[in-house]
Amino acid sequence: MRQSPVLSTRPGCTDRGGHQESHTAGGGQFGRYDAVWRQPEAERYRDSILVMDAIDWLILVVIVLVVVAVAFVIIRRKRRGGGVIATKDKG
Amino acid sequence: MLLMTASQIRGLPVVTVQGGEDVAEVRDVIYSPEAGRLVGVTLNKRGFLAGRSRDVLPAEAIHAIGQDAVMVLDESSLVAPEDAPEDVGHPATERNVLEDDILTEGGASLGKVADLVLLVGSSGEVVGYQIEKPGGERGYIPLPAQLSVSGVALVVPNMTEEFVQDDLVGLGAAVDEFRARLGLT
Repeated sequence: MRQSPVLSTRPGCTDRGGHQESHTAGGGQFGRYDAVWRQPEAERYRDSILVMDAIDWLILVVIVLVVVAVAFVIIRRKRRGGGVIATKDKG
Repeated sequence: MLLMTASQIRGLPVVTVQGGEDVAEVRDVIYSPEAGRLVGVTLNKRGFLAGRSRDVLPAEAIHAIGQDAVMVLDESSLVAPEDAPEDVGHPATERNVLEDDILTEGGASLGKVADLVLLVGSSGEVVGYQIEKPGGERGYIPLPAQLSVSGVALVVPNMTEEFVQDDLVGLGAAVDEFRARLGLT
């Protein structure tokens, strides 16, 4: 089914009779109500992009923290070192 | 008699008897295979990320080694490398025996050195090695068992194979018998 292009997604646009305005060009299957139904969808899409951005940032922060923690442990182990050293035979 | 492994000693705090101060932390355990005793330890500074300390602790300056701390009389027990015996002041770090192969005179591998076992308290006698056998399980061999030690391999008499023990209790008993067989007691 062909989707009607959305011309405006402004919420609360009504005609003089108080009905929701149609902002579609050519009209869809449900005529002027298409824009009303499509508007929340667009907002959901925008919100989902924001949510994905937040998750991406979170993943990035977690990866950086893990890398820093591993580096920290390696540096600490290297600095603390330690072994069992045999002296040279004097005989 | 308290048997401890070198890895249990490494990381222990060095505490003064007189002040109760925590002055350092054990880094390397240095021992003489020839004399069969601990000769000293190198130190780390205290603190989470603090590195190596320049000072060392010769065995003569150790008051006691316990399960939770190495005790010294006071902070003057920690000495500069120049004032310590050569083996302790400038340890041969390339002679770290951990992970060394253990080979018999006959060329058979007994495994790798996993740790050193010491008789602690006021003495620092080295009684044996903890080994990782070729199969992966742990065992113990008594000291003096090695004919030669390097940073790569320990060569031991053929009869050492008979004295491989599964636990520290068995090692304690095996040491005396092993030394008697070698004619050392």
